[in-house]
Amino acid sequence: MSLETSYRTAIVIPKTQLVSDAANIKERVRPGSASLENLKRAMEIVIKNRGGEFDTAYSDNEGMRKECFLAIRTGDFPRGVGVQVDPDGQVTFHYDAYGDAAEIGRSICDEIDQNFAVIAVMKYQNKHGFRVEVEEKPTSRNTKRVTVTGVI
Amino acid sequence: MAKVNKVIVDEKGNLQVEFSCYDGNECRVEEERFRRELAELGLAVKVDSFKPKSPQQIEAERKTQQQRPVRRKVET
Repeated sequence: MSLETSYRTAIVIPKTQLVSDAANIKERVRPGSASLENLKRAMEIVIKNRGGEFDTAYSDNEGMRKECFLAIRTGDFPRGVGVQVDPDGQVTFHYDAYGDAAEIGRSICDEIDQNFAVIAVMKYQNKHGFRVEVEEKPTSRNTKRVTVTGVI
Repeated sequence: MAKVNKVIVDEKGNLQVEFSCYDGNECRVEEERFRRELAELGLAVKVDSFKPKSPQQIEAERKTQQQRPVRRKVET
């Protein structure tokens, strides 16, 4: 049999990992669990693509720093985008959209979501012995569609 | 015949997946494992649509499979 499915996704740190990472999140030390490592990797790819750096805060339009678990500031959005992990594990993005007519902040959030999903799918397929091939097709200047094909 | 999981990740990180060339109920087992293990990796998924392929689609896959080139493995 063969199936065609579609899924909506969200980044949610599993409860077991949330317990073991609680101190890391509070103290903002290096992520330890697989989920937080995936999140950090997804953000690193955005920095690699756009230029920029990690921070522990993003800024509002008046330049006030807003502390968060982890943030990235990119060349095209220097105020940055912050990441928070809620007590239930839900990962949320925070940024000041004032004056961001081009919706760059939003596009950074989408890019992190997409990178995270690709990393998770590739890890799943590698773990189960699939031969993995990745193909990217640009859909606009800053967006792409990624196909991850696993064969076993 | 080789089993194939083809996953399209859209611009917002949502997924479209084709599970192909599985025997009988094996396909549903794989789909459940896929969802469960993605959640363990931090990617919670909610099913939007779930549709078995038609016999015609499956036959077309078999023909494509016979012509499929060898794929390389990508390390993560």
